Amino acid sequence: MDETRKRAQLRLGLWVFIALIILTVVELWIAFAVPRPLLYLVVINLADAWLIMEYFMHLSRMWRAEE
Amino acid sequence: MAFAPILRGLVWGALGFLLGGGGAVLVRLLLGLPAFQPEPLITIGYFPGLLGWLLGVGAWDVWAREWFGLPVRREAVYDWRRYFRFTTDHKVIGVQYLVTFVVLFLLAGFFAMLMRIELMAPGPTIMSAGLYNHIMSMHGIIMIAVAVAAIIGGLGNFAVPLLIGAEDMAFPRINALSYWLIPPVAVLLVSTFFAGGFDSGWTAYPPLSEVNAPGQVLFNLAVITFGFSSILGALNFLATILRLRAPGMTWRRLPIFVWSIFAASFISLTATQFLAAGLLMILLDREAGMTFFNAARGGAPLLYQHIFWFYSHPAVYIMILPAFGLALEILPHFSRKPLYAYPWLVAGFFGIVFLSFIVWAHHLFTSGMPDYLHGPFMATTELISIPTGLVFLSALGTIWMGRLRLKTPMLFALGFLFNFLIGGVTGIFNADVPTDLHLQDTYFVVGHFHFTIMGGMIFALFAGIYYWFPKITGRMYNETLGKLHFWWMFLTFNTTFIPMFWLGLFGMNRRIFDYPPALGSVNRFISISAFLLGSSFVVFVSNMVLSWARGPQAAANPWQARTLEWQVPSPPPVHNFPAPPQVVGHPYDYGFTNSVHALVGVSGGSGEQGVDTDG
Amino acid sequence: MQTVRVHVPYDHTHTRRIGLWLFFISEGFLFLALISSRYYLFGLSRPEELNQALGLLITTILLLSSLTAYRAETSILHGDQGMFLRNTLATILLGSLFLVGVALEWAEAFRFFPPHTRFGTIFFTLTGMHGFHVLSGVVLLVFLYFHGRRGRFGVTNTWPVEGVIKYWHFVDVVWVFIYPTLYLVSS
Ligand SMILES: [Cu+2]
Repeated sequence: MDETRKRAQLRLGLWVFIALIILTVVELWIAFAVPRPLLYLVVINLADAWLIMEYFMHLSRMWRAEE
Repeated sequence: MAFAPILRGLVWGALGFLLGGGGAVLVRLLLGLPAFQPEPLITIGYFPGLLGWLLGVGAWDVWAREWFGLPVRREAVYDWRRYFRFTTDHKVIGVQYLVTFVVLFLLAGFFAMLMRIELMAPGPTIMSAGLYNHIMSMHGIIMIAVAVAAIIGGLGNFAVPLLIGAEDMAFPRINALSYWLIPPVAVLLVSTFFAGGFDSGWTAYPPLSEVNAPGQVLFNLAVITFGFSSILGALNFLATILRLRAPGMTWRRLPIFVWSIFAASFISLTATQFLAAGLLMILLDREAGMTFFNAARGGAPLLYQHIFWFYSHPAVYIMILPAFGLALEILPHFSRKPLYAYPWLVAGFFGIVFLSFIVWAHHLFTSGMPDYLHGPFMATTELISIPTGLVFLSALGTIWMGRLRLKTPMLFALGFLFNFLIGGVTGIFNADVPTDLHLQDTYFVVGHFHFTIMGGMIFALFAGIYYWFPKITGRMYNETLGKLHFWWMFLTFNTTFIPMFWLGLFGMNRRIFDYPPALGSVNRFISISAFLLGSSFVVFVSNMVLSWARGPQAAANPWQARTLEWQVPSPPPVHNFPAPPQVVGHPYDYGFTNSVHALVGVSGGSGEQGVDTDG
Repeated sequence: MQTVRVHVPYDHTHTRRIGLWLFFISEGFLFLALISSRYYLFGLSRPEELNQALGLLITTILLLSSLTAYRAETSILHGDQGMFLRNTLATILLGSLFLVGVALEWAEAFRFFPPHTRFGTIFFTLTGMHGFHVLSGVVLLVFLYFHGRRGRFGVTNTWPVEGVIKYWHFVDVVWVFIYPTLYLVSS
């Protein structure tokens, strides 16, 4: 069962990575297709940063007392 | 050998410098550039040199060995030699900071005396215009360092773990690291005398700071190092206060000095990076031919002022918040009354922290910043008087109808209130755009700043030193000499700096050795006052040295104070408390019968712990 | 002199996590200073000479290295030494590849916007400062790899792994903001 937990966690990492890549491609597209893209880029960056901090860096674990 | 670690640090530091500098020369030769250019060489050699110094002085033994899988080596040294080592005990580090910064304070004060000799009469008297500017810059930056680090690094390190009932700081080795980053800062600043000096003041504005002597590079490296030290210190305080409070030490029971360090640490942790970034950009402009601030190549000198003041305005609150905390920590114990409006006071601290980040451009009213920014920054600046007002109301409410015990710490705390009031009120004229256009860069600003920082922060520092002297040393200072020091310093401080407001209104410029002849007599008066002010520290130093050497043994709790540090012997044992204290009540409830702050297991004979013996 | 130490029972790993996050906040302000200088000096314009393909490529490499770092941390938490070592090594290689990419960028940048131009100033400083962080991360990962090969980490001793890998992710987060600041923002 530890093995299944591990596999689930690894799969989650892969999904996060795919999401990050998609966001990056969208970012690139917006930068060349939309005039004055700054605001959209900032929003996407915040999403990127949240994905990494939450899923890779386990930010919300900081507020959990256990462990 | 007592000084073996320091010697090893110097040797390893020199090796690191040679390695880095040699590498730089090699790279330059490979790239076909002229091999020796002093400024990049110094800069590139400095960082490995700094690393070598830190490792040599002790970081290798107690820390870095474990990165290579080796066991760490700790020496158990408990006599005076531990002050010259990479010791991790917060009480030792506090004393290291305190002594270092008192020495630096006296050195920078000596520079101020030289300036006042020069300003005795209009025109050149004892030094060249350039040397005056260098001395003035040295005075400025060293005093800024003292103001940032003496209370936080010295008294904060000593007292915060004791006040919250902890055994040590959260990261004792980082704590030692942030102290041992300070000696290189002092050495670099003093060695500017051999590198042509720096004449750009402690603010280092370009374009001057990009074209002057190589001393500027040493200044930048010194201040970047100092910034790194204060960032690490702030990180440590935040983690300590968040995590190491004794059982029952809730946020509503936290001593106010701890709150003030907590609030100030948020600023140090974040804003300090802007100072480092700005100074790094100057180095890049100077040495890598970049163009951040070089208008001739398309850069923007004004950008530096924005970056610099984004740190340096909040920095005045790094200096003054712990001073507030210290004064307010002392007032209840010596008024025998609870701290008035405690929650509002804490809210005031955080109001100051928040506002301090959105006022920086009030330093740019005459710098050519767009006009539409004047109004907003004037408004945010003046908003700061609201949280500061809360702090003052709390102080006044605490001493109101109290049974004041006018011991030396209390006198300094009251002197702090008086001086800071003048400093704060005169600040309004600098924050108001119409008056500031007239007052900018005059002695009015000098007077205002010295009333807040010297009259405020330095007075609070002395209050704290006298307050905790018996706890730190285990001996009592001489009360008569202490009172003499206070009155001498208080009176001469005011006669020195009050006339500066007048000088500023009449247009005397700061940061220059010369002034209109009509202002000669007032300047002479200020200089004589300043010499008297300077001599007051002879009383202080002799009191400290004599009392530490042969003062009477201090009791565990000479002030009958309720906070935790007084419930253990003086000086406290190595691990502070025999067992984690149980905090059960508010620290300042003087006059309430049966009110208890904390239960401390075993104590050095100070009577009932935490009970108000006065009431 | 020996004193019996009485420890307050508390989770030191959690304190270290707090310390590390505070360090990230602090470093974030350093990059905030540099990134905001870009807008002050260069506004929202975007030089045409930027190599967009290379920019996208190194961004992808860095994101991929974050995935391998995550896999390394996850596997050591489950006690899988082999997978931990493989993924740490992959992260080191990807990080080095990123640095090679930055070096290629620099070679081009010297031609199109050398350091004494406004955009060059920003470009070299931001990529240089970030590259320095990547380099230090690679060094830390190398330490991690060699300790890992000696079997020093297991389910009980994971803080060094967690700390270094958090730092690596942080460097990635910073790049997430630097990438559009340098390559994408336009007016
Ligand atoms: Cu200000």
